[in-house]
Amino acid sequence: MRDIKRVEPLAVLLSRVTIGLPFSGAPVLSDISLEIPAGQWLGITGMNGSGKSTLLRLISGLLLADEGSVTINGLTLAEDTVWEIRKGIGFVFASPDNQFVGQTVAEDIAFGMANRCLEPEAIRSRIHQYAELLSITDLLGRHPSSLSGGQKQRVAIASVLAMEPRIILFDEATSMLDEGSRREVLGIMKQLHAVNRYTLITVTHDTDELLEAERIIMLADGSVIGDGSPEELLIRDEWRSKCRLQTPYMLQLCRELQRQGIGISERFTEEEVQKELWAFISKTSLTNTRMASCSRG
Amino acid sequence: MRTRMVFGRYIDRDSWIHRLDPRSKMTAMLLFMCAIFLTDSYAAVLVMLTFSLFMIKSTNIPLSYFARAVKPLLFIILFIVIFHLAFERGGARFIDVGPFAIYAGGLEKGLISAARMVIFVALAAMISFTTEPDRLTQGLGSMMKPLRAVGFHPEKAALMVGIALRFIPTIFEEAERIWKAQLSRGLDLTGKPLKQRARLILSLMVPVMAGAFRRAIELADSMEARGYRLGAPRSAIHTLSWKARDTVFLLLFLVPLASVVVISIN
Repeated sequence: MRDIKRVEPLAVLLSRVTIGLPFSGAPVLSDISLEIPAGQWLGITGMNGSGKSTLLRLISGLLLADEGSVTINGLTLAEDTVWEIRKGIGFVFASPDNQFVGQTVAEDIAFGMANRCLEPEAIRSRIHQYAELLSITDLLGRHPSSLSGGQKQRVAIASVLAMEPRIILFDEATSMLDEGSRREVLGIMKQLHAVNRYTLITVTHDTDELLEAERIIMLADGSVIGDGSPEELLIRDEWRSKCRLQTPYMLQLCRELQRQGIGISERFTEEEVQKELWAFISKTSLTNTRMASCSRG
Repeated sequence: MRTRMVFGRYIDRDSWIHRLDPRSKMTAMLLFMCAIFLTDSYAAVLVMLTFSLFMIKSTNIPLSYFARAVKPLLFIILFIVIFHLAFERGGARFIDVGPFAIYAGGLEKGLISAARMVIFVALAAMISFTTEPDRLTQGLGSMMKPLRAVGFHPEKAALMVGIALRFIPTIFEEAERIWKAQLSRGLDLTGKPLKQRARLILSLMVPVMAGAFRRAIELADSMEARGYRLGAPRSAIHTLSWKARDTVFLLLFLVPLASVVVISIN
């Protein structure tokens, strides 16, 4: 487990949180403690039913904990603080279709701002600002049902950003998208984190998405079973199998190359694998040159 | 599916009717509805038809869109005509069809009723064609404000209408998908007795309803996460403002109403 250095103020603090199912009371999350510094990208993964989405709903205030406390941006979550807390949180859901309220893209982006009683002028200005940021200006007059999956998720992200939150939650936001749209949304997440320094909390089964996070936690049966950097946790087969995660593609490639006798270390990104391969090729060609010069000598 | 939907559809054109306040259009529609109810002669139909065509022409939207709005009602219109032909007695006896006799009065009433329906539906479609959906629901909410006195919540009602309009195409798409899935698994209604047909249709309705409930729950979460609180004050993307042209538009609708009243009295 990694010891988190608190260089930034905490965005989220969960202290011994337990929550059960509404009627049976069977625990969905038990005794969870978690600190998420502001500006961090945290990936949450685990098998279906492990409590990932429940954790996000707790953080967003859509659910209240049975035991323990949840503190968001310095405010402890309770019935009287939930609306204030929600002002600082944006939530992008898995199904792009079911999160649209508006009959046009512009109206949908305006929905959250209208709930905060912003002036019409301010609403229109932010709509154009965030539509431009997410390249959806040409879609503003369209009906949600006429958009592609990727476009719908971009609109959902714009709706969230327009409310100018400090924390953005993504609940399997790329799971229903095709490969192109998935990469598109992942690119937006990267930009939001790298450029705008939002605190991102993403729930996903996708190892590529997890690798983009700064830190990941693994959940099983409502408990945190792993907490560390993606490289630390994803490299180990037993951790991945506990969450039924796929082996990252680059890791598979490195292992296959190793089996073929190419001595490179296990890496996760294309750049790292390229560097390893270049180092290996340079070393091999140097050795060959030396051997050739020795044999000539 | 969306392209086949007529009501709740906005058609972006540059016309003076598009620029009107939604409240003036809805109030005008109420006046027009009164005029339609009073239409009971060929002369009155002619006045209403001329007025409607003038309005439709002013929208810069092709007539075919309005025809498509009326098309789904053709069966009902036909039924109304047949009903009047079969049961309305008055005027000269035209022809005998089995136990029924067709009278001139029945034919007149049938044709007038059909014309009234066509004209009304076409002009009602004009409101949705020329008003952005969010402005339409906002206007509706604004017009229902006096009902607050009797405990009615106009904002909630307007939001409800907006969400219903938003989800109609989605639910239709889902129904179509489930229908096709069932057809691909051998569902065949042809030649089946009515009771069995009803049971098979029920097998379509159950997943559609379950899907609608699931969507409703997810939508509620999404709304709540974006700060929507039942009964809390909200602002809007547009500000409604009543201008002189709205008053002129409203006054224009008094022309057919007055004409129909005069024709009716005479």
